[in-house]
Amino acid sequence: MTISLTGGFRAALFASTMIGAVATSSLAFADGDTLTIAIPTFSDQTMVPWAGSGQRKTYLDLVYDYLVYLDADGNTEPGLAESWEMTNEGKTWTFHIRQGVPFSGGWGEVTAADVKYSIERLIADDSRAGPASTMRRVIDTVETPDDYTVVVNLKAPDFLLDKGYFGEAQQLGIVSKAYVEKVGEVAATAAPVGTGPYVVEKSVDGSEIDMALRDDIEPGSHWRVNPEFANVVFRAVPEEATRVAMLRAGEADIAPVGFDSIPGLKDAGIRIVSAEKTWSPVIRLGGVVQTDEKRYNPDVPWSDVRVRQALNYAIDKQTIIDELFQGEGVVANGDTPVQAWNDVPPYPYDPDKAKELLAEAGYPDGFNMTLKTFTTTPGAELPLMAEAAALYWADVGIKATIEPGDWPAIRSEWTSGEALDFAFTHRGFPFPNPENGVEAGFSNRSLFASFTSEELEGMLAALASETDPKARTEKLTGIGQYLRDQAAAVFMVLANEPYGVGPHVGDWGITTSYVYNFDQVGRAD
Amino acid sequence: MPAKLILIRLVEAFFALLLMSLVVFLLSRITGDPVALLLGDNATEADKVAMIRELGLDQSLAAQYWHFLANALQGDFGRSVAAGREPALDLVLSRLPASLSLAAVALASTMLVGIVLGVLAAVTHGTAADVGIRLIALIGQSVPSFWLGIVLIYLVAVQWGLLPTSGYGGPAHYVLPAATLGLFTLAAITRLVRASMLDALGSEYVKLARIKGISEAAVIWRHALSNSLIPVVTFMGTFFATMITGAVVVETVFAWPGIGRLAYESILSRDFPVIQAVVLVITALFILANLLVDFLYLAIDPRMREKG
Amino acid sequence: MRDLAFRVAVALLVVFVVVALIGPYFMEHDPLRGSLRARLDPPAWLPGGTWDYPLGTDRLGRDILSRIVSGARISLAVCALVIAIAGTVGTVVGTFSGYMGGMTDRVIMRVVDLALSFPVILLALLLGAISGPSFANIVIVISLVLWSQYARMARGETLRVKNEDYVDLARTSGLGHARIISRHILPNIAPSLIVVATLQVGVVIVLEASLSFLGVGVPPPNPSWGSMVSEGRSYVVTAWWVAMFPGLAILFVVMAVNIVGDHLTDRLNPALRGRGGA
Repeated sequence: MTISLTGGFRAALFASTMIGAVATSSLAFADGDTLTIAIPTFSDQTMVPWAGSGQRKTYLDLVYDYLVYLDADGNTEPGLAESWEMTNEGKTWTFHIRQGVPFSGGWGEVTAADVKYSIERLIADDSRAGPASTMRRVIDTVETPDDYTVVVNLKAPDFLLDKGYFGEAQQLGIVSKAYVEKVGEVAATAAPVGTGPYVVEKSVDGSEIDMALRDDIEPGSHWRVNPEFANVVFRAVPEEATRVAMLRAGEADIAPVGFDSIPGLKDAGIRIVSAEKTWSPVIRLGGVVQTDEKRYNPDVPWSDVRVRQALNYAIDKQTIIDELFQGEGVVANGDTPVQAWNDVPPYPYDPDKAKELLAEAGYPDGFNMTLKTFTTTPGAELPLMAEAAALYWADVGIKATIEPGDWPAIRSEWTSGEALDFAFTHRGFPFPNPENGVEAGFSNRSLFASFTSEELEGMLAALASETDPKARTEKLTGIGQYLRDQAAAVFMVLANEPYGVGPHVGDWGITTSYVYNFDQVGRAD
Repeated sequence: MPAKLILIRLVEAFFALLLMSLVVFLLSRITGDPVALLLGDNATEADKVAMIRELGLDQSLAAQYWHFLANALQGDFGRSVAAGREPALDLVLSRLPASLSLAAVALASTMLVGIVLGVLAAVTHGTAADVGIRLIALIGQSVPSFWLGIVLIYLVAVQWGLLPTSGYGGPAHYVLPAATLGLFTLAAITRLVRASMLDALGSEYVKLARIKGISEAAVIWRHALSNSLIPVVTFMGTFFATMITGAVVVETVFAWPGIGRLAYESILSRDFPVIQAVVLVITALFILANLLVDFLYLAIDPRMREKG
Repeated sequence: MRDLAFRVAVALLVVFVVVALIGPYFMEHDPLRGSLRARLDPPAWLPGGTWDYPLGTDRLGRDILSRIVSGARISLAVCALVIAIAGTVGTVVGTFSGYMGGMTDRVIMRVVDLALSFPVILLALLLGAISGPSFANIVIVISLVLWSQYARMARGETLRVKNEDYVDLARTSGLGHARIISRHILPNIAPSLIVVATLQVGVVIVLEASLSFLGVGVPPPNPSWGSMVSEGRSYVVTAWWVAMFPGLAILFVVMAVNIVGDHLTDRLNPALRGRGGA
């Protein structure tokens, strides 16, 4: 009633969507040429790289190509950039762009101008891409001396720009400048134009994204991949039990599933493909940003390092992995999997040691604490893990009250700049460039820091100014060992991400976080 | 008289929406900070300030509300902060057909089945049929819909392969979510109809009708039933409300792209413009449904008509 | 036969209330503590089950029987509180509104409409987001959902009876409004309200379950029947007992309350007496 000014228009819109909804109804049973992927959420369901989170890479990676790709071991491979070099002690990067790669829809071939536009658009002030603000701090100017050369000047050295921000695990998909400028951002957001093998045919808000192989490229002649499915359909299915049912009924070919569903799915003949160590459940402790007066809370018991260690010793993490994670993971030695930390030993399960440390710290009978938790994707198991941790802590006298909440609420408390007096479950992700991750989590400059110390700031500064690759790795290892010894968090699991895979699918795997390879899914026959 | 009544009701509905807009506005302002959510993992203080200005969160509450109201009156609830900066109202309206069609299918089929079952139970009261119907009604009222939905998916879609598990599509896609959404209401309607049918069957005018020699079928289906429908009509608005709120759960289970799920997701992501638009649209729908109920009332029950 | 059903139902309710009150003191297992090594154990009579856990264990290896017993307290308390609060408020408002009529009625009913038309489950989510899930929040939110239904019913029924001869008679004989309402109107509209109240027992428990499903129910590790069913939803195929037993508890209570409600309806409503009841 109050919206009557545009009532006629609304009514027309309503009627047309109603008719559209009925007319386009389809029974999406998986057939030979269609790959159906059920994922919990489309996040923003926007189709340009800068208009939302990295979670959209599940589907956007079929449409856009990146400058740099990574092999299974995390080494760089040429992408839309055929080659590149770093000069000026990490402050200048020059990328040579592959020639003759066409955008979909007849929007010409990729040139340096498109790359420059894509970079500048991704770091613009109104960009909503995850890494936009850090990239903005690093990138100074972008130049295009000729049509196939892009020079990126940085404000500070970044020795891993290729693997990191410009790599396939991040959000720098290359868009057509001409297209976006011609049709405008709104239209570009709805119908993306990229150089990837697929185009978006239909996108139903909150429900379905249908993709088809481009018809302007001969089958098998895309510069990067040779997809085996003519169509890929993404469906947003928030409830895990429903995704499992879809796999069993043959309605979905690939879907992320919960750990507890693994045995049942295997019994039903559904294969499980696990992305290894792609996320890490962790319990962060509030109020120990020790270098910031406002964020440091000396009254929390775990401001004493012995209490933090006790919290780690008290939990039988291996049993949690065996039972709650169906063995899909390893005991964590840090808040995120970092290759340089491979030799850092995790805390063993030792409740006696925990009690001893608590007594030394002045808490022989334990204490009360609040543990907040939430669910996310992946991370449906976080509340369960919180309850399991609380069970073990109870054995050493620590009584944790669990407060289920949601991520936005916890996140805004975390970043409020105030000292926290609670602990919370969280999940870490491996950063393509682990130094970015360490800085985000443990540097005074980060809003998201959960633990800092003067000593650590010194180590971080030393890392930043080190130019020798080998010495950098050693320094990074040193930081990992320090974080572990200081028990900067309650490190829980470096967990896998299990996917149920139906009988139509042959070869497929996830090698790195945020790289799903849904355009490289093989057919079973 | 009816024209005037309708006018009064419309004015009332307008004020109701106005009041609701204030409630919604205040609620969405005290539930959390959207800024932290929208910023990247390495945002600076300056990023934060810029975002606050962009969202208008630096103005006074009153100013923010006035701004919100003036725009809302023109159908502009602002752009969704989470979903690709689409206009919030467009987002809600694009999700509306899925929810309304599901609610309509569920409500229509449960009304039909519920009335038939209720009458049958009343007519056969005390027999096995009556006990059976009441048992079904009881079970319907004590089963949480998310559990029922998942069990139905596994039985009907996975085990027997009769229907699709989930998703928004053709008629086959409606069966399971509509059944899940409707079972609770079905039970309520059955009980209500049964109780008031028993009431009506024992009343003077039904006795009179029987004495007049009107056939038993006519007595039941015309005389007794039309009176028994009044409580059902009373609760129609509520049933509709139950359907729409039940949609939050059912749409999640069945991956149905309706406003229930949109509302849930926008609350989780603190997407203020969408929360406001979705709550006000749902409220407007309910007010509309209640208006219809009132008019139906006038049409059905002459006694009410006299009193206005 | 009907008397038998009534007696069985009353006995069942008494058992549930007694179990809720003293049951937890007789349980072998702590409903909040479990062993991860014993998670998702089946009930005793199935292969792999033991009499240690008669109804099996949940996903954290906690004894389901102990949790149902302990959950009875929480679930029944939510029910009783909500129905007391919502029923009282709704009946008072509805009866008053219907009895007064005119402008008062009009304004009150608009407020009731508004309450009916607010998508309360969203309110619950918002409240949960502000202050975190808690027992008090759940009672408040569910009462907010339900009071208006009593109000509408009470008002409609009051309109029905207020011009009956016996009310007119009372009025002309000079009785005060409060007396007329309490002596002549309430007893006559009570049967309908009791039907609503018995309908509500199921509604309350199921609503609480839905709130758990959406993450704002009774906070863990405390069990409520609804949250137990919600936790069990991922296991309908692999470990059906996690959701089934608390679900059966809900069913039995709802059934018993309904039978008792039907019986009371007959007793309270003279017009229905002797006709087999509603």
